[in-house]
Amino acid sequence: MTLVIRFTHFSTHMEAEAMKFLAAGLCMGLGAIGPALGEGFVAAKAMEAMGRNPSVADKMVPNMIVAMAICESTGIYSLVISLILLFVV
Amino acid sequence: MLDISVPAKVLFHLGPVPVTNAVVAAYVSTGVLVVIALLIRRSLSSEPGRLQAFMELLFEYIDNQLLQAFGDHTRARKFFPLIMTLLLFIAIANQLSVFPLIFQVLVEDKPLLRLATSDLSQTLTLGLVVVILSHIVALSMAPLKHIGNYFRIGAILAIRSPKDIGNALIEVFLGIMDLIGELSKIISISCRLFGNLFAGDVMVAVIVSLSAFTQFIVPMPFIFLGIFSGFVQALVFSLLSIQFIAGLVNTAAANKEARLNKGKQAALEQPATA
Repeated sequence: MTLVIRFTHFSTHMEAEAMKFLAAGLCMGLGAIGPALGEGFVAAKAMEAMGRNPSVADKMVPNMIVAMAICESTGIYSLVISLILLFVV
Repeated sequence: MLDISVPAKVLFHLGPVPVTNAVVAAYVSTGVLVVIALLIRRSLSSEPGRLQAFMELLFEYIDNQLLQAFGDHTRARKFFPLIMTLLLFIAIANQLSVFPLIFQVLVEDKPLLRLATSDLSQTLTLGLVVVILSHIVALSMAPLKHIGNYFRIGAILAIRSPKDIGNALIEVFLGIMDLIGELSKIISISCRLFGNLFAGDVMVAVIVSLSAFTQFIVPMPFIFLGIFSGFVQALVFSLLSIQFIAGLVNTAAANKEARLNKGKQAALEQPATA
């Protein structure tokens, strides 16, 4: 109970500047979860396939990198948003 | 204190046009490309040297990718110059930060150069070029069908009974979703390039400004990561633009072929009935 009261008390006095930094940190931290999992899946599946059939490894690596870069894009969006929050707004 | 700014700084005005440091850097990387091209041309031979062999490998790789995406050699060759230019320009422009002290050259307290692809307006321009070009080519091949993909009037006209209305509404909604998808293509392809390169620079800048001890050896792995991601992002940008162009152009070509075949069949049937 006291915690909630303290939090509300705190948030009413929170300045816009502090809110900006908090938003940037939250945006980057939450936005990094999805791409990390996605890239992990891509890498795991690619490793699995390469282990099963090593002769396709050369053909696979560029495709894997492109797929990872595409998975990364949601993380990049949140990065762009937090950069804008930090340096532009 | 860190000196990081998302918009590029205006150096001088050329008439009414402001020239930013990112534009200057883009011209510098274009100049580097021209010099490399001249060097390769001078030592061109049927027994390729190291540089020539590398370029031939790269050209062959992109040619193969285009052929796989379009499935037709003449159509694939038409887009080869654009894709190759994008790849080479982005790959060279991304590597500008490798040269030491190049960003410390100041003109009136503003850096003369800035990583060209870490300016959102440049990457947005590249993305717009790719997406608008794909639409123009698709429109010139099969205009009515291409517009019909987004504004699905055909589905509304095809309503014959009340139970078709639901399906028609879904079709119209899907068309609008496709329209939004085209817009998000531009945003995604440009923000991906911008975010990666800008983040690489920001990361090195933050680590350098942490303390006096982290200025020399500590940022090295991050600089290596920046070099690697610069090449990877150039490759990703060109492969994605191949996919964007091929997706629209292939459907337009299939529509055009279907229309021509229809016309041919009608022409064949007419003398028989007459």
